[in-house]
Amino acid sequence: MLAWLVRRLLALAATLLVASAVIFIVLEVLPGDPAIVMLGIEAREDTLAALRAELGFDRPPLERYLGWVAGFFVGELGQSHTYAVPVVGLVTERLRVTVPLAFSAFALATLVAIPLGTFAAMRRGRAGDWGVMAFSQLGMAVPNFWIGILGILVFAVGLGWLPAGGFPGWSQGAGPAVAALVLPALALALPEAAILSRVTRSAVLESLGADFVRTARAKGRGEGGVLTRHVLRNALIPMTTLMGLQFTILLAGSIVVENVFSLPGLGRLVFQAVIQRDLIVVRDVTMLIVAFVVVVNFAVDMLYVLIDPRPQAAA
Amino acid sequence: MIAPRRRRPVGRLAVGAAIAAVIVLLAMVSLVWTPFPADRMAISVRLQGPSALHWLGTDQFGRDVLSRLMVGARNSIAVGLLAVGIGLAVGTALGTWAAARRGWVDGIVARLADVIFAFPLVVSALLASAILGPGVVNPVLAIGIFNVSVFTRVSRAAAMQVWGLEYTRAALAIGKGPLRVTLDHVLPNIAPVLIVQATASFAIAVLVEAALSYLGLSVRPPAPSWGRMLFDAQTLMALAPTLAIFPGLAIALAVFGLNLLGDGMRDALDPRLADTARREV
Repeated sequence: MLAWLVRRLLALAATLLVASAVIFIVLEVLPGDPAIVMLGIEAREDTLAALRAELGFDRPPLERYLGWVAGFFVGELGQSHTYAVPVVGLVTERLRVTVPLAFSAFALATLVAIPLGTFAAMRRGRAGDWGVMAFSQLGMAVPNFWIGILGILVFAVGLGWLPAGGFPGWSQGAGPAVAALVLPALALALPEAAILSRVTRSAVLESLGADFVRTARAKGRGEGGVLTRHVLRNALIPMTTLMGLQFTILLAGSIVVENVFSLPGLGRLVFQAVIQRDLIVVRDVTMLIVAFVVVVNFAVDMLYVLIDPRPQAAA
Repeated sequence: MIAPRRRRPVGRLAVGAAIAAVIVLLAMVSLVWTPFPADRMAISVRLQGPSALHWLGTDQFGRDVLSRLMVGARNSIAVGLLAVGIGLAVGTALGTWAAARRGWVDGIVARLADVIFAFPLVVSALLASAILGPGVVNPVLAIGIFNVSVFTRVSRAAAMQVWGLEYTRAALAIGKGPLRVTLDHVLPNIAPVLIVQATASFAIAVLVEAALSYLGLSVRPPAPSWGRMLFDAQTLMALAPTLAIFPGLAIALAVFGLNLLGDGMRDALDPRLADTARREV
Protein backbone atom coordinates (compact mmCIF):
# COMPACT_ATOMS: atom_id res chain seq x y z
CA MET A 1 0.00 0.00 0.00
CA LEU A 2 2.72 2.43 1.04
CA ALA A 3 4.90 1.55 -1.94
CA TRP A 4 1.90 2.08 -4.21
CA LEU A 5 1.23 5.48 -2.67
CA VAL A 6 4.86 6.52 -3.07
CA ARG A 7 4.83 5.40 -6.70
CA ARG A 8 1.68 7.40 -7.36
CA LEU A 9 3.14 10.48 -5.67
CA LEU A 10 6.31 10.20 -7.74
CA ALA A 11 4.25 9.92 -10.92
CA LEU A 12 2.28 12.98 -9.82
CA ALA A 13 5.46 14.98 -9.27
CA ALA A 14 6.90 13.84 -12.60
CA THR A 15 3.72 14.80 -14.47
CA LEU A 16 3.71 18.25 -12.85
CA LEU A 17 7.37 18.77 -13.64
CA VAL A 18 7.02 17.80 -17.29
CA ALA A 19 3.82 19.84 -17.66
CA SER A 20 5.50 22.92 -16.19
CA ALA A 21 8.43 22.46 -18.58
CA VAL A 22 6.00 22.17 -21.51
CA ILE A 23 4.21 25.38 -20.53
CA PHE A 24 7.48 27.21 -20.05
CA ILE A 25 8.95 26.03 -23.34
CA VAL A 26 5.79 26.82 -25.32
CA LEU A 27 5.45 30.32 -23.92
CA GLU A 28 9.00 31.48 -23.31
CA VAL A 29 11.39 29.40 -25.45
CA LEU A 30 9.58 28.43 -28.68
CA PRO A 31 8.55 31.98 -29.63
CA GLY A 32 12.21 33.06 -29.58
CA ASP A 33 11.79 36.38 -27.84
CA PRO A 34 8.81 36.52 -25.47
CA ALA A 35 9.14 40.28 -25.31
CA ILE A 36 8.28 40.51 -29.03
CA VAL A 37 5.26 38.25 -28.48
CA MET A 38 4.03 40.58 -25.74
CA LEU A 39 4.69 43.90 -27.46
CA GLY A 40 4.37 42.98 -31.14
CA ILE A 41 6.90 43.05 -33.96
CA GLU A 42 6.58 46.81 -34.41
CA ALA A 43 7.83 47.52 -30.89
CA ARG A 44 10.94 49.67 -30.56
CA GLU A 45 14.18 48.05 -29.45
CA ASP A 46 14.50 50.14 -26.28
CA THR A 47 10.92 49.28 -25.22
CA LEU A 48 11.66 45.62 -25.82
CA ALA A 49 14.88 45.84 -23.83
CA ALA A 50 13.04 47.53 -20.96
CA LEU A 51 10.41 44.76 -20.89
CA ARG A 52 13.09 42.06 -21.06
CA ALA A 53 14.81 43.62 -18.08
CA GLU A 54 11.52 44.11 -16.21
CA LEU A 55 10.36 40.51 -16.63
CA GLY A 56 13.80 38.94 -16.51
CA PHE A 57 13.66 37.68 -20.10
CA ASP A 58 17.33 38.65 -20.43
CA ARG A 59 18.31 35.81 -18.08
CA PRO A 60 19.01 32.32 -19.48
CA PRO A 61 15.86 30.18 -19.92
CA LEU A 62 16.91 27.45 -17.47
CA GLU A 63 17.52 29.99 -14.72
CA ARG A 64 14.11 31.58 -15.40
CA TYR A 65 12.41 28.19 -15.39
CA LEU A 66 13.93 27.17 -12.08
CA GLY A 67 13.08 30.54 -10.58
CA TRP A 68 9.48 30.19 -11.73
CA VAL A 69 9.07 26.67 -10.32
CA ALA A 70 10.70 27.72 -7.03
CA GLY A 71 8.26 30.63 -6.85
CA PHE A 72 5.35 28.19 -6.95
CA PHE A 73 6.56 26.50 -3.78
CA VAL A 74 6.58 29.74 -1.83
CA GLY A 75 3.33 31.03 -3.33
CA GLU A 76 5.11 33.71 -5.33
CA LEU A 77 4.02 33.89 -8.95
CA GLY A 78 4.94 36.49 -11.52
CA GLN A 79 3.74 40.03 -12.01
CA SER A 80 0.99 40.72 -14.54
CA HIS A 81 2.22 43.02 -17.28
CA THR A 82 -1.26 44.35 -18.14
CA TYR A 83 -2.52 44.92 -14.61
CA ALA A 84 0.89 45.65 -13.04
CA VAL A 85 -0.08 43.61 -9.96
CA PRO A 86 1.11 40.21 -8.69
CA VAL A 87 -0.60 37.27 -10.38
CA VAL A 88 -1.33 35.69 -6.97
CA GLY A 89 -3.65 38.58 -6.07
CA LEU A 90 -5.42 38.42 -9.43
CA VAL A 91 -5.95 34.68 -9.12
CA THR A 92 -7.34 34.75 -5.57
CA GLU A 93 -9.73 37.52 -6.57
CA ARG A 94 -10.94 35.60 -9.64
CA LEU A 95 -11.34 32.35 -7.72
CA ARG A 96 -14.19 33.96 -5.81
CA VAL A 97 -16.20 33.67 -9.00
CA THR A 98 -14.83 30.49 -10.54
CA VAL A 99 -14.89 28.28 -7.44
CA PRO A 100 -18.57 28.91 -6.56
CA LEU A 101 -19.45 28.58 -10.25
CA ALA A 102 -17.65 25.27 -10.74
CA PHE A 103 -18.88 23.84 -7.43
CA SER A 104 -22.51 24.76 -7.99
CA ALA A 105 -22.40 23.37 -11.53
CA PHE A 106 -20.81 20.18 -10.23
CA ALA A 107 -23.38 19.83 -7.46
CA LEU A 108 -26.22 20.54 -9.86
CA ALA A 109 -24.98 18.00 -12.41
CA THR A 110 -24.50 15.32 -9.74
CA LEU A 111 -27.84 15.95 -8.02
CA VAL A 112 -29.69 15.71 -11.31
CA ALA A 113 -27.71 12.91 -12.93
CA ILE A 114 -27.43 10.26 -10.22
CA PRO A 115 -31.18 10.01 -9.49
CA LEU A 116 -31.99 10.22 -13.21
CA GLY A 117 -29.46 7.56 -14.17
CA THR A 118 -30.55 5.24 -11.35
CA PHE A 119 -34.20 5.76 -12.25
CA ALA A 120 -33.49 4.95 -15.90
CA ALA A 121 -31.61 1.78 -14.96
CA MET A 122 -34.46 0.59 -12.70
CA ARG A 123 -36.92 1.19 -15.54
CA ARG A 124 -34.75 -0.28 -18.26
CA GLY A 125 -36.52 -0.38 -21.63
CA ARG A 126 -39.59 1.49 -20.39
CA ALA A 127 -40.77 5.02 -21.07
CA GLY A 128 -38.84 6.52 -18.14
CA ASP A 129 -35.60 5.01 -19.41
CA TRP A 130 -36.25 6.31 -22.90
CA GLY A 131 -36.94 9.78 -21.56
CA VAL A 132 -33.73 9.90 -19.57
CA MET A 133 -31.69 8.55 -22.46
CA ALA A 134 -33.21 11.11 -24.82
CA PHE A 135 -32.34 13.89 -22.36
CA SER A 136 -28.84 12.49 -22.12
CA GLN A 137 -28.33 12.28 -25.91
CA LEU A 138 -29.58 15.84 -26.38
CA GLY A 139 -27.64 17.22 -23.43
CA MET A 140 -24.39 15.74 -24.69
CA ALA A 141 -24.84 17.33 -28.10
CA VAL A 142 -25.58 20.87 -26.97
CA PRO A 143 -22.53 23.07 -26.39
CA ASN A 144 -22.48 24.71 -22.95
CA PHE A 145 -21.94 28.19 -24.34
CA TRP A 146 -25.04 27.85 -26.53
CA ILE A 147 -27.11 26.85 -23.49
CA GLY A 148 -25.75 30.01 -21.91
CA ILE A 149 -26.76 32.13 -24.90
CA LEU A 150 -30.24 30.56 -25.01
CA GLY A 151 -30.56 31.12 -21.26
CA ILE A 152 -29.75 34.80 -21.75
CA LEU A 153 -32.23 34.96 -24.63
CA VAL A 154 -35.08 33.50 -22.57
CA PHE A 155 -34.43 34.50 -18.95
CA ALA A 156 -32.62 37.82 -19.39
CA VAL A 157 -33.74 39.35 -22.71
CA GLY A 158 -37.20 37.73 -22.80
CA LEU A 159 -38.44 37.38 -19.23
CA GLY A 160 -36.01 39.71 -17.49
CA TRP A 161 -35.73 37.38 -14.48
CA LEU A 162 -31.97 37.04 -14.42
CA PRO A 163 -29.03 39.26 -15.42
CA ALA A 164 -27.62 38.72 -18.93
CA GLY A 165 -24.06 38.86 -17.67
CA GLY A 166 -21.55 40.61 -15.45
CA PHE A 167 -20.91 40.05 -11.78
CA PRO A 168 -21.78 42.50 -9.00
CA GLY A 169 -19.29 41.00 -6.52
CA TRP A 170 -20.03 39.43 -3.14
CA SER A 171 -19.85 42.71 -1.26
CA GLN A 172 -23.33 43.68 -2.47
CA GLY A 173 -24.79 40.70 -0.63
CA ALA A 174 -25.23 37.14 -1.80
CA GLY A 175 -28.50 37.67 -3.70
CA PRO A 176 -27.29 39.55 -6.80
CA ALA A 177 -24.09 37.49 -6.94
CA VAL A 178 -26.00 34.20 -6.83
CA ALA A 179 -28.46 35.49 -9.44
CA ALA A 180 -25.51 36.27 -11.72
CA LEU A 181 -24.23 32.70 -11.35
CA VAL A 182 -27.53 30.83 -11.96
CA LEU A 183 -27.47 30.79 -15.76
CA PRO A 184 -23.71 30.14 -16.05
CA ALA A 185 -23.96 27.23 -13.59
CA LEU A 186 -26.91 25.77 -15.48
CA ALA A 187 -25.07 26.11 -18.80
CA LEU A 188 -22.05 24.30 -17.39
CA ALA A 189 -24.06 21.67 -15.54
CA LEU A 190 -26.49 20.50 -18.20
CA PRO A 191 -24.08 18.76 -20.61
CA GLU A 192 -22.22 17.20 -17.67
CA ALA A 193 -25.48 15.98 -16.13
CA ALA A 194 -26.31 14.38 -19.47
CA ILE A 195 -23.07 12.39 -19.55
CA LEU A 196 -23.13 11.51 -15.88
CA SER A 197 -26.72 10.25 -16.01
CA ARG A 198 -25.78 7.98 -18.88
CA VAL A 199 -22.75 6.58 -17.10
CA THR A 200 -24.75 6.18 -13.87
CA ARG A 201 -27.39 4.26 -15.80
CA SER A 202 -24.93 1.81 -17.30
CA ALA A 203 -23.00 1.43 -14.02
CA VAL A 204 -26.21 0.73 -12.10
CA LEU A 205 -27.38 -1.68 -14.80
CA GLU A 206 -24.12 -3.57 -14.54
CA SER A 207 -24.37 -3.73 -10.75
CA LEU A 208 -28.01 -4.80 -10.88
CA GLY A 209 -27.09 -7.86 -12.90
CA ALA A 210 -24.27 -8.91 -10.56
CA ASP A 211 -24.37 -12.03 -8.41
CA PHE A 212 -23.99 -10.12 -5.16
CA VAL A 213 -27.25 -8.32 -5.85
CA ARG A 214 -29.05 -11.62 -6.33
CA THR A 215 -27.47 -12.87 -3.13
CA ALA A 216 -28.53 -9.78 -1.20
CA ARG A 217 -32.08 -10.17 -2.48
CA ALA A 218 -32.05 -13.86 -1.68
CA LYS A 219 -30.99 -13.03 1.85
CA GLY A 220 -34.14 -10.97 2.13
CA ARG A 221 -32.75 -7.46 1.97
CA GLY A 222 -35.32 -4.89 0.87
CA GLU A 223 -35.03 -3.18 -2.52
CA GLY A 224 -33.96 0.11 -0.93
CA GLY A 225 -31.14 -1.55 0.95
CA VAL A 226 -30.05 -3.48 -2.13
CA LEU A 227 -29.97 -0.27 -4.12
CA THR A 228 -27.99 1.86 -1.68
CA ARG A 229 -25.73 -0.70 0.00
CA HIS A 230 -24.92 -2.90 -2.97
CA VAL A 231 -25.90 -1.48 -6.34
CA LEU A 232 -24.94 2.18 -5.92
CA ARG A 233 -21.84 1.43 -3.89
CA ASN A 234 -20.45 -0.70 -6.70
CA ALA A 235 -21.69 1.64 -9.41
CA LEU A 236 -19.73 4.42 -7.68
CA ILE A 237 -16.45 3.10 -9.08
CA PRO A 238 -16.97 4.08 -12.74
CA MET A 239 -18.96 7.13 -11.63
CA THR A 240 -16.07 8.46 -9.52
CA THR A 241 -13.70 8.36 -12.48
CA LEU A 242 -16.11 10.39 -14.54
CA MET A 243 -16.95 12.83 -11.76
CA GLY A 244 -13.27 13.52 -11.15
CA LEU A 245 -12.85 14.09 -14.85
CA GLN A 246 -15.94 16.27 -14.92
CA PHE A 247 -14.74 18.56 -12.20
CA THR A 248 -11.72 19.40 -14.30
CA ILE A 249 -13.90 19.72 -17.41
CA LEU A 250 -16.07 22.21 -15.54
CA LEU A 251 -13.05 24.27 -14.64
CA ALA A 252 -11.91 24.31 -18.25
CA GLY A 253 -15.48 24.81 -19.46
CA SER A 254 -15.77 27.86 -17.26
CA ILE A 255 -13.19 29.53 -19.53
CA VAL A 256 -15.82 29.56 -22.27
CA VAL A 257 -18.91 30.12 -20.12
CA GLU A 258 -17.35 32.94 -18.10
CA ASN A 259 -16.77 34.69 -21.39
CA VAL A 260 -20.40 34.21 -22.46
CA PHE A 261 -21.53 35.94 -19.28
CA SER A 262 -18.57 38.34 -18.88
CA LEU A 263 -17.89 36.88 -15.43
CA PRO A 264 -14.60 38.05 -13.89
CA GLY A 265 -13.37 34.52 -13.10
CA LEU A 266 -10.17 32.61 -13.65
CA GLY A 267 -11.22 31.53 -17.15
CA ARG A 268 -11.86 35.07 -18.28
CA LEU A 269 -8.58 36.15 -16.71
CA VAL A 270 -6.55 33.65 -18.71
CA PHE A 271 -8.54 34.31 -21.89
CA GLN A 272 -8.01 38.05 -21.66
CA ALA A 273 -4.36 37.48 -20.85
CA VAL A 274 -4.05 35.55 -24.12
CA ILE A 275 -5.71 38.37 -26.04
CA GLN A 276 -3.53 40.97 -24.32
CA ARG A 277 -0.43 38.78 -24.72
CA ASP A 278 0.22 38.92 -20.99
CA LEU A 279 2.42 35.81 -21.09
CA ILE A 280 3.18 35.86 -17.38
CA VAL A 281 -0.51 35.55 -16.47
CA VAL A 282 -1.05 32.92 -19.18
CA ARG A 283 1.91 30.91 -17.88
CA ASP A 284 0.95 31.05 -14.21
CA VAL A 285 -2.79 30.48 -14.62
CA THR A 286 -2.36 27.59 -17.08
CA MET A 287 0.06 25.97 -14.65
CA LEU A 288 -2.45 26.37 -11.82
CA ILE A 289 -5.20 24.81 -13.92
CA VAL A 290 -2.97 21.93 -15.01
CA ALA A 291 -1.81 21.35 -11.42
CA PHE A 292 -5.42 21.28 -10.33
CA VAL A 293 -6.30 18.69 -12.98
CA VAL A 294 -3.36 16.48 -12.00
CA VAL A 295 -4.17 16.71 -8.29
CA VAL A 296 -7.86 15.95 -8.84
CA ASN A 297 -6.93 12.88 -10.89
CA PHE A 298 -4.66 11.80 -8.07
CA ALA A 299 -7.43 12.35 -5.54
CA VAL A 300 -9.75 10.22 -7.66
CA ASP A 301 -7.20 7.40 -7.54
CA MET A 302 -7.10 7.75 -3.77
CA LEU A 303 -10.88 7.71 -3.59
CA TYR A 304 -10.93 4.40 -5.42
CA VAL A 305 -9.06 2.83 -2.57
CA LEU A 306 -11.71 4.02 -0.16
CA ILE A 307 -14.62 2.89 -2.31
CA ASP A 308 -13.09 -0.31 -3.57
CA PRO A 309 -9.80 -1.68 -2.27
CA ARG A 310 -9.42 -4.03 -5.24
CA PRO A 311 -7.75 -1.87 -7.96
CA GLN A 312 -4.59 -1.09 -5.99
CA ALA A 313 -3.48 -4.71 -6.21
CA ALA A 314 -3.81 -4.55 -9.96
CA ALA A 315 -2.07 -1.18 -10.10
CA MET B 1 -35.39 -12.79 -28.49
CA ILE B 2 -32.32 -11.44 -30.19
CA ALA B 3 -34.02 -9.49 -32.97
CA PRO B 4 -35.63 -6.72 -30.88
CA ARG B 5 -32.39 -6.14 -28.97
CA ARG B 6 -30.44 -5.66 -32.18
CA ARG B 7 -32.90 -3.28 -33.75
CA ARG B 8 -32.25 -0.20 -31.65
CA PRO B 9 -28.49 -0.04 -32.26
CA VAL B 10 -29.03 -0.36 -35.99
CA GLY B 11 -31.60 2.44 -35.76
CA ARG B 12 -29.12 4.67 -33.97
CA LEU B 13 -26.45 3.82 -36.48
CA ALA B 14 -28.74 4.67 -39.40
CA VAL B 15 -30.02 7.94 -37.91
CA GLY B 16 -26.51 9.03 -36.88
CA ALA B 17 -25.05 8.16 -40.25
CA ALA B 18 -27.88 9.98 -42.04
CA ILE B 19 -27.38 13.18 -40.00
CA ALA B 20 -23.62 13.08 -40.50
CA ALA B 21 -24.06 12.40 -44.22
CA VAL B 22 -26.43 15.36 -44.66
CA ILE B 23 -23.97 17.71 -42.96
CA VAL B 24 -21.02 16.43 -44.99
CA LEU B 25 -23.12 16.71 -48.14
CA LEU B 26 -24.09 20.32 -47.36
CA ALA B 27 -20.45 21.15 -46.72
CA MET B 28 -19.43 19.59 -50.02
CA VAL B 29 -22.21 21.31 -51.95
CA SER B 30 -21.04 24.62 -50.48
CA LEU B 31 -17.78 24.17 -52.39
CA VAL B 32 -19.65 24.71 -55.65
CA TRP B 33 -22.95 26.28 -54.66
CA THR B 34 -24.55 28.19 -51.80
CA PRO B 35 -27.91 30.03 -51.94
CA PHE B 36 -25.95 33.30 -51.79
CA PRO B 37 -22.20 33.99 -51.72
CA ALA B 38 -21.37 33.44 -48.02
CA ASP B 39 -19.47 36.71 -47.66
CA ARG B 40 -21.74 38.96 -49.75
CA MET B 41 -22.97 41.84 -47.65
CA ALA B 42 -26.28 43.54 -48.37
CA ILE B 43 -27.01 46.14 -45.73
CA SER B 44 -30.53 46.73 -47.10
CA VAL B 45 -31.58 43.21 -46.06
CA ARG B 46 -29.71 43.02 -42.75
CA LEU B 47 -31.09 41.18 -39.71
CA GLN B 48 -34.03 39.65 -41.52
CA GLY B 49 -35.86 36.68 -40.12
CA PRO B 50 -36.33 33.48 -42.12
CA SER B 51 -38.10 34.09 -45.44
CA ALA B 52 -38.65 32.39 -48.80
CA LEU B 53 -35.56 34.11 -50.15
CA HIS B 54 -33.29 33.75 -47.12
CA TRP B 55 -34.42 30.48 -45.56
CA LEU B 56 -32.65 31.05 -42.25
CA GLY B 57 -32.58 34.86 -42.43
CA THR B 58 -29.66 37.28 -42.69
CA ASP B 59 -27.06 38.57 -40.25
CA GLN B 60 -25.99 42.08 -39.23
CA PHE B 61 -24.31 42.64 -42.59
CA GLY B 62 -27.17 41.16 -44.61
CA ARG B 63 -25.23 37.96 -45.28
CA ASP B 64 -27.29 34.82 -45.85
CA VAL B 65 -27.24 32.66 -42.69
CA LEU B 66 -27.84 29.34 -44.49
CA SER B 67 -24.95 29.97 -46.88
CA ARG B 68 -22.67 30.81 -43.97
CA LEU B 69 -23.75 27.73 -42.04
CA MET B 70 -22.98 25.56 -45.08
CA VAL B 71 -19.51 27.04 -45.49
CA GLY B 72 -18.97 26.93 -41.72
CA ALA B 73 -19.64 23.18 -41.79
CA ARG B 74 -16.49 22.77 -43.89
CA ASN B 75 -14.50 24.36 -41.13
CA SER B 76 -15.91 22.06 -38.43
CA ILE B 77 -15.39 18.97 -40.58
CA ALA B 78 -11.84 19.93 -41.57
CA VAL B 79 -10.81 20.58 -37.96
CA GLY B 80 -12.45 17.31 -36.89
CA LEU B 81 -10.77 15.27 -39.61
CA LEU B 82 -7.31 16.75 -39.00
CA ALA B 83 -7.50 16.60 -35.21
CA VAL B 84 -8.80 13.02 -35.18
CA GLY B 85 -6.32 12.05 -37.90
CA ILE B 86 -3.36 13.33 -35.86
CA GLY B 87 -4.59 11.56 -32.74
CA LEU B 88 -5.36 8.33 -34.56
CA ALA B 89 -2.03 8.16 -36.40
CA VAL B 90 0.34 9.23 -33.62
CA GLY B 91 -1.66 7.83 -30.70
CA THR B 92 -2.18 4.41 -32.25
CA ALA B 93 1.50 4.18 -33.19
CA LEU B 94 2.54 5.05 -29.64
CA GLY B 95 -0.08 2.86 -27.97
CA THR B 96 0.62 -0.24 -30.02
CA TRP B 97 4.38 0.33 -29.67
CA ALA B 98 4.03 0.53 -25.88
CA ALA B 99 1.92 -2.63 -25.84
CA ALA B 100 4.40 -4.51 -28.00
CA ARG B 101 7.54 -3.42 -26.17
CA ARG B 102 6.30 -3.03 -22.56
CA GLY B 103 9.05 -2.11 -20.09
CA TRP B 104 10.53 1.38 -20.24
CA VAL B 105 8.88 2.22 -23.58
CA ASP B 106 5.51 1.53 -22.01
CA GLY B 107 6.42 3.59 -18.97
CA ILE B 108 7.45 6.62 -21.02
CA VAL B 109 4.44 6.43 -23.33
CA ALA B 110 2.09 6.17 -20.35
CA ARG B 111 3.71 9.22 -18.69
CA LEU B 112 3.50 11.16 -21.95
CA ALA B 113 -0.20 10.40 -22.22
CA ASP B 114 -0.61 11.48 -18.57
CA VAL B 115 1.07 14.82 -19.21
CA ILE B 116 -1.04 15.57 -22.31
CA PHE B 117 -4.13 14.53 -20.40
CA ALA B 118 -3.34 17.09 -17.72
CA PHE B 119 -3.96 19.90 -20.19
CA PRO B 120 -7.68 20.55 -20.67
CA LEU B 121 -8.47 21.10 -24.36
CA VAL B 122 -9.39 24.76 -24.05
CA VAL B 123 -6.23 25.40 -22.05
CA SER B 124 -3.93 23.93 -24.71
CA ALA B 125 -5.79 25.90 -27.36
CA LEU B 126 -5.23 29.06 -25.31
CA LEU B 127 -1.53 28.23 -25.02
CA ALA B 128 -1.29 27.77 -28.79
CA SER B 129 -3.16 31.03 -29.41
CA ALA B 130 -0.95 32.90 -26.95
CA ILE B 131 2.04 32.45 -29.22
CA LEU B 132 0.44 31.89 -32.62
CA GLY B 133 -2.44 34.36 -32.46
CA PRO B 134 -5.92 33.37 -33.64
CA GLY B 135 -6.13 30.86 -36.48
CA VAL B 136 -7.56 27.49 -37.39
CA VAL B 137 -4.24 25.84 -36.54
CA ASN B 138 -4.97 26.35 -32.81
CA PRO B 139 -7.93 23.97 -32.55
CA VAL B 140 -6.23 21.47 -34.85
CA LEU B 141 -3.08 21.47 -32.71
CA ALA B 142 -4.85 21.50 -29.36
CA ILE B 143 -7.46 18.85 -30.17
CA GLY B 144 -4.95 16.82 -32.19
CA ILE B 145 -2.42 16.64 -29.37
CA PHE B 146 -5.15 15.84 -26.85
CA ASN B 147 -6.37 13.07 -29.15
CA VAL B 148 -2.86 11.63 -29.22
CA SER B 149 -3.24 10.87 -25.53
CA VAL B 150 -6.80 9.53 -25.99
CA PHE B 151 -5.80 7.16 -28.81
CA THR B 152 -2.57 6.17 -27.05
CA ARG B 153 -4.54 5.02 -24.03
CA VAL B 154 -7.32 3.33 -25.99
CA SER B 155 -5.01 1.54 -28.44
CA ARG B 156 -2.54 0.55 -25.72
CA ALA B 157 -5.23 -1.04 -23.55
CA ALA B 158 -6.83 -2.82 -26.51
CA ALA B 159 -3.47 -3.95 -27.92
CA MET B 160 -2.41 -5.32 -24.51
CA GLN B 161 -5.50 -7.53 -24.57
CA VAL B 162 -4.67 -8.83 -28.03
CA TRP B 163 -1.05 -9.48 -26.98
CA GLY B 164 -2.41 -11.63 -24.18
CA LEU B 165 -4.13 -13.97 -26.64
CA GLU B 166 -2.65 -17.19 -27.88
CA TYR B 167 -2.51 -16.41 -31.57
CA THR B 168 -0.16 -13.46 -31.08
CA ARG B 169 2.18 -15.68 -29.11
CA ALA B 170 1.85 -18.30 -31.85
CA ALA B 171 2.74 -15.64 -34.42
CA LEU B 172 5.84 -14.73 -32.43
CA ALA B 173 6.72 -18.40 -32.14
CA ILE B 174 6.71 -18.88 -35.89
CA GLY B 175 9.24 -16.10 -36.15
CA LYS B 176 7.22 -12.93 -36.84
CA GLY B 177 8.71 -9.81 -35.26
CA PRO B 178 6.72 -7.54 -32.91
CA LEU B 179 6.10 -5.02 -35.72
CA ARG B 180 4.79 -7.73 -38.07
CA VAL B 181 2.52 -9.12 -35.34
CA THR B 182 1.26 -5.61 -34.60
CA LEU B 183 0.46 -4.97 -38.25
CA ASP B 184 -0.96 -8.41 -39.03
CA HIS B 185 -2.82 -9.26 -35.84
CA VAL B 186 -3.03 -6.44 -33.32
CA LEU B 187 -4.15 -3.59 -35.56
CA PRO B 188 -6.95 -5.48 -37.35
CA ASN B 189 -8.25 -6.63 -33.98
CA ILE B 190 -8.25 -3.24 -32.31
CA ALA B 191 -9.62 -1.43 -35.39
CA PRO B 192 -13.26 -1.54 -34.20
CA VAL B 193 -12.33 0.11 -30.91
CA LEU B 194 -10.37 2.77 -32.77
CA ILE B 195 -13.21 3.46 -35.21
CA VAL B 196 -15.68 3.93 -32.36
CA GLN B 197 -13.26 6.20 -30.51
CA ALA B 198 -12.59 8.19 -33.68
CA THR B 199 -16.30 8.92 -34.08
CA ALA B 200 -16.64 10.00 -30.45
CA SER B 201 -13.51 12.14 -30.75
CA PHE B 202 -14.86 13.73 -33.93
CA ALA B 203 -17.96 14.83 -32.05
CA ILE B 204 -15.82 16.34 -29.31
CA ALA B 205 -13.66 18.08 -31.91
CA VAL B 206 -16.75 19.74 -33.41
CA LEU B 207 -17.85 20.93 -29.96
CA VAL B 208 -14.43 22.23 -28.96
CA GLU B 209 -13.81 23.92 -32.30
CA ALA B 210 -17.14 25.68 -31.91
CA ALA B 211 -16.17 26.85 -28.43
CA LEU B 212 -12.79 28.08 -29.65
CA SER B 213 -14.24 29.91 -32.61
CA TYR B 214 -16.82 31.42 -30.25
CA LEU B 215 -13.86 32.77 -28.26
CA GLY B 216 -12.29 34.07 -31.49
CA LEU B 217 -9.29 31.74 -31.28
CA SER B 218 -10.08 29.66 -34.37
CA VAL B 219 -10.66 30.76 -37.98
CA ARG B 220 -10.39 34.47 -38.57
CA PRO B 221 -13.35 36.49 -39.79
CA PRO B 222 -14.86 36.95 -42.31
CA ALA B 223 -14.52 33.17 -42.85
CA PRO B 224 -17.71 31.76 -41.33
CA SER B 225 -17.62 29.36 -38.42
CA TRP B 226 -20.53 28.12 -36.33
CA GLY B 227 -19.07 29.23 -33.04
CA ARG B 228 -18.21 32.73 -34.25
CA MET B 229 -21.71 33.14 -35.68
CA LEU B 230 -23.06 32.55 -32.17
CA PHE B 231 -20.65 35.13 -30.77
CA ASP B 232 -21.82 37.72 -33.29
CA ALA B 233 -25.45 36.83 -32.60
CA GLN B 234 -25.08 37.39 -28.87
CA THR B 235 -24.85 41.17 -29.17
CA LEU B 236 -27.90 41.25 -31.47
CA MET B 237 -30.19 38.98 -29.49
CA ALA B 238 -32.82 41.57 -28.75
CA LEU B 239 -33.02 42.52 -32.45
CA ALA B 240 -32.61 39.17 -34.17
CA PRO B 241 -33.04 36.21 -31.81
CA THR B 242 -33.01 33.63 -34.64
CA LEU B 243 -29.35 34.44 -35.31
CA ALA B 244 -28.55 32.83 -31.95
CA ILE B 245 -30.63 29.74 -32.75
CA PHE B 246 -29.54 28.28 -36.10
CA PRO B 247 -25.73 28.04 -35.61
CA GLY B 248 -26.31 26.41 -32.21
CA LEU B 249 -28.77 23.97 -33.78
CA ALA B 250 -26.19 23.14 -36.44
CA ILE B 251 -23.53 22.34 -33.82
CA ALA B 252 -25.96 20.34 -31.68
CA LEU B 253 -27.28 18.41 -34.69
CA ALA B 254 -23.78 17.55 -35.91
CA VAL B 255 -22.66 16.38 -32.47
CA PHE B 256 -25.92 14.51 -31.89
CA GLY B 257 -25.53 12.70 -35.21
CA LEU B 258 -21.90 11.81 -34.57
CA ASN B 259 -22.71 10.58 -31.04
CA LEU B 260 -25.50 8.38 -32.37
CA LEU B 261 -23.21 7.10 -35.09
CA GLY B 262 -20.52 6.31 -32.52
CA ASP B 263 -23.01 4.53 -30.23
CA GLY B 264 -24.46 2.58 -33.11
CA MET B 265 -21.04 1.53 -34.33
CA ARG B 266 -19.97 0.57 -30.85
CA ASP B 267 -23.00 -1.65 -30.45
CA ALA B 268 -22.45 -3.14 -33.88
CA LEU B 269 -18.67 -3.57 -33.70
CA ASP B 270 -17.81 -4.00 -30.05
CA PRO B 271 -20.67 -4.46 -27.61
CA ARG B 272 -18.26 -4.92 -24.70
CA LEU B 273 -17.13 -1.30 -24.71
CA ALA B 274 -18.72 0.49 -21.80
CA ASP B 275 -20.21 3.98 -21.86
CA THR B 276 -17.35 5.23 -19.73
CA ALA B 277 -14.92 4.93 -22.63
CA ARG B 278 -16.95 7.33 -24.68
CA ARG B 279 -16.16 10.87 -23.80
CA GLU B 280 -12.92 12.08 -22.36
CA VAL B 281 -12.55 15.80 -22.82
